Amino acid sequence: MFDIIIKTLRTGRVTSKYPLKPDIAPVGFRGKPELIPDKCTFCGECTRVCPPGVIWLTKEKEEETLTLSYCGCIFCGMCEEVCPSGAIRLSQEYELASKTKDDLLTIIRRTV
Amino acid sequence: MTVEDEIEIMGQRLNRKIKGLFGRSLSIREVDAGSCNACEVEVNALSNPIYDLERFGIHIVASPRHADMLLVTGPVTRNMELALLKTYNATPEPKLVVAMGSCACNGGIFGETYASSGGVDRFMPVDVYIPGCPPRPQAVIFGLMVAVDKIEQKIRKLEVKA
Amino acid sequence: MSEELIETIKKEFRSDILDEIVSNNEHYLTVNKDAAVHICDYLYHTLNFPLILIFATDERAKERTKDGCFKIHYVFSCKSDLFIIIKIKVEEKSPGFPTLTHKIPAANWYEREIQDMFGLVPVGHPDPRRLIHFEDWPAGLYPLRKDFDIRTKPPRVKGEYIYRRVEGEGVYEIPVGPVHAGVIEPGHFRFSVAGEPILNLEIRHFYTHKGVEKSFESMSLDKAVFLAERISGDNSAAHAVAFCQAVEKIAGVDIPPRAKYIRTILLELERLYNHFGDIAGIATDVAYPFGAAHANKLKEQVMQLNEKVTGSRLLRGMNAIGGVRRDIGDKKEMILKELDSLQKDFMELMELLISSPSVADRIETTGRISNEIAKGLHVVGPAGRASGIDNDIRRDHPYAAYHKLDFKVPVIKAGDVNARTNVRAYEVYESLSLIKLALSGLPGSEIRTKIKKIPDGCALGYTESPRGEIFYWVHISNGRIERCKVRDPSFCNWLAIEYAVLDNIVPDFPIINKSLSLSYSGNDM
Repeated sequence: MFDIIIKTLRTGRVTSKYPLKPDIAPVGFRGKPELIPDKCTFCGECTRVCPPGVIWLTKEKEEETLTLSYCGCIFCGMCEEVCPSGAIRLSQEYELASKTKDDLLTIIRRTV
Repeated sequence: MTVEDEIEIMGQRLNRKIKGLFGRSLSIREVDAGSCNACEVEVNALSNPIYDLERFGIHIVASPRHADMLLVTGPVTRNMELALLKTYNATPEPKLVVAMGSCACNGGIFGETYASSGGVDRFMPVDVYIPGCPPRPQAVIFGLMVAVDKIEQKIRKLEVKA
Repeated sequence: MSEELIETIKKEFRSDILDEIVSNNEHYLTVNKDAAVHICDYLYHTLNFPLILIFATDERAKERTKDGCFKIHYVFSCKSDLFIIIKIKVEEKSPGFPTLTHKIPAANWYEREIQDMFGLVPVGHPDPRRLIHFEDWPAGLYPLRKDFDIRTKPPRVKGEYIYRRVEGEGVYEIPVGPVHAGVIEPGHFRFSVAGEPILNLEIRHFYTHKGVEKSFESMSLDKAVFLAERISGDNSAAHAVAFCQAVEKIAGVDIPPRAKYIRTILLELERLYNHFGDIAGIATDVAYPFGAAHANKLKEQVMQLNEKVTGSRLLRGMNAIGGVRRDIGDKKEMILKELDSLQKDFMELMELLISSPSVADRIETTGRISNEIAKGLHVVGPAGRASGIDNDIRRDHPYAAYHKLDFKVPVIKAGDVNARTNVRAYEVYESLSLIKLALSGLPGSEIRTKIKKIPDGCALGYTESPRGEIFYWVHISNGRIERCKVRDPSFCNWLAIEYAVLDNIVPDFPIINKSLSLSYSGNDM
């Protein structure tokens, strides 16, 4: 009994303050993939390696669209690994909960 | 004012909001609809001394009949469809459904196969999606807060012309 | 040693062996269908080689010119790092094959799985009910046949599943699941009890069957690594490494030594957090929340360490075919510091746990699995080692950097929950020392070899996960996966629970279940 009290006192408080205080994910954490529109060349390399297939490229007349949905993303970082122009990067952001699927989309367009 | 001060003030404001809106507790029933058990590991982590979900008055309860919210993980397998629907019907109204993890949101890597249906929203209205494979415990807490309107969701649809 | 062994087998069954192929440490012998049971029986009972896996392949298209047929493989693990694989051919026209379950009980579920997924019939099987498909699955549809499209949505038909019944005065049934009271995976348990003691338990699983083996066949190799990680979430690293090793073996690539050491560290980190979690679970179920809280805290510490080291709390996204994707050399100091603190805390915790009479009272003699049962069902991992089975893939068939590192394999004979807890506690200390050894000996080299082209072929990949041995048999043809058979340790251990609970009381079931630490998803796939 005495041992238990000593161990409890020595351990102290371990509970994190989140969400009252923000908790920043460690460096190297694979969070929300972010597209950098200026760098993207619409080569489609990321769409080919994405395991769940949540990045897709569509062409309509003169407009090309690259869509990335966080819904279904497994945060593997393959897109970041293969992107030849560094236009996609996994950030440390993880607070992605959303009330609609629509809010989980990132779309970049360009006119050819 | 330093960054720390700002964070502290933000935290206090949030705290007030949470206290204000959390007049009552929240009971959650977790349903595994075919996940790989990584999401279960993280839901279990929510009850450990580090995250201690009970401090917000959030309980994980044993029966859907006691629950206000269903926390569904997994892509909903053919063999779990019926059990999931029965659980949903057993939960009293008003109820919230949270799809936790990428499989529950969209089928994730399992996608749509003869045995996996590719997402919870094919069977019931989903109130909040929590992406992540699996989402870290903080992301789940954030999602739960969004579900009960304690915190504004951060992510918005982004459309850019390059 | 291994040549002599093969010679002995060939001498014994000369007339029945049709073909022989050797690749790496795998020896394939194609034999007459009718002789299979006899040969397997000889390997198992006379030579004492455990049966580790049975699986089928659909090679009807490949050999259309000759004799298109299905093949069934029986994999035996021998001492001296050798696997003997007995192959038989089964024609589509006569889909029966002789059952092995009467001779080797461990064959039970494998044969029923083949029946469900390929439509081949184990003739004389003692329990020919469906295993993976439920009663609403239409007859005549077999998902792993090549002519079955993965996106087919078969209609639901009417059917009934018949449970084993125990009858007698005062006997009643307790159905549990698939949605459980705790946060655990779905599965159905049907207890037949008279008062508190359990007379019979029948488990019914495969609620989480997602068609993973079929999905592998439509995935490129790089993507398949991520699917392997998601077969059983808390064994992500072990599954990914096993898959990568199988592919690397086919490619004939020796990955850089640094990658091997990093993989070893990842696998041991995984063992640490799983064992802490299991000990926490046992403490919870014996109503010792103090121990549970501390063990859970240790688990969380390892998971946070994982996140800092690899970017994922469950060690995901680290493995790739040809090595690892991230170097962890610069995190060495941080890991060592954390390990020291874990070791100290864990020692204190175990002292308190062992000295508590209320814990000892619940776990001693509870859920006993005798050595005989464990051997017959091929119970693996800590559960097997707690029942006196001296079996550890890390030592018997070394992979990654294990042959260069010194570690001991604990074996206890008692077979109860207490023994399983102690095996895990002992393994925690071994893992801690293994990580330290691996970190201090981390060689300087590349961490990934680029593999340009993967030749056609097949190979076994294996790791010792926290639950026991994981096996992958991968067949690659034209750079794509032709067949990927996965065997999670839970597939072996689930059957043991039906024996472990006998004569125990219902309230002890959760402890027994937790002490066996079984994955539903890894079992169902």
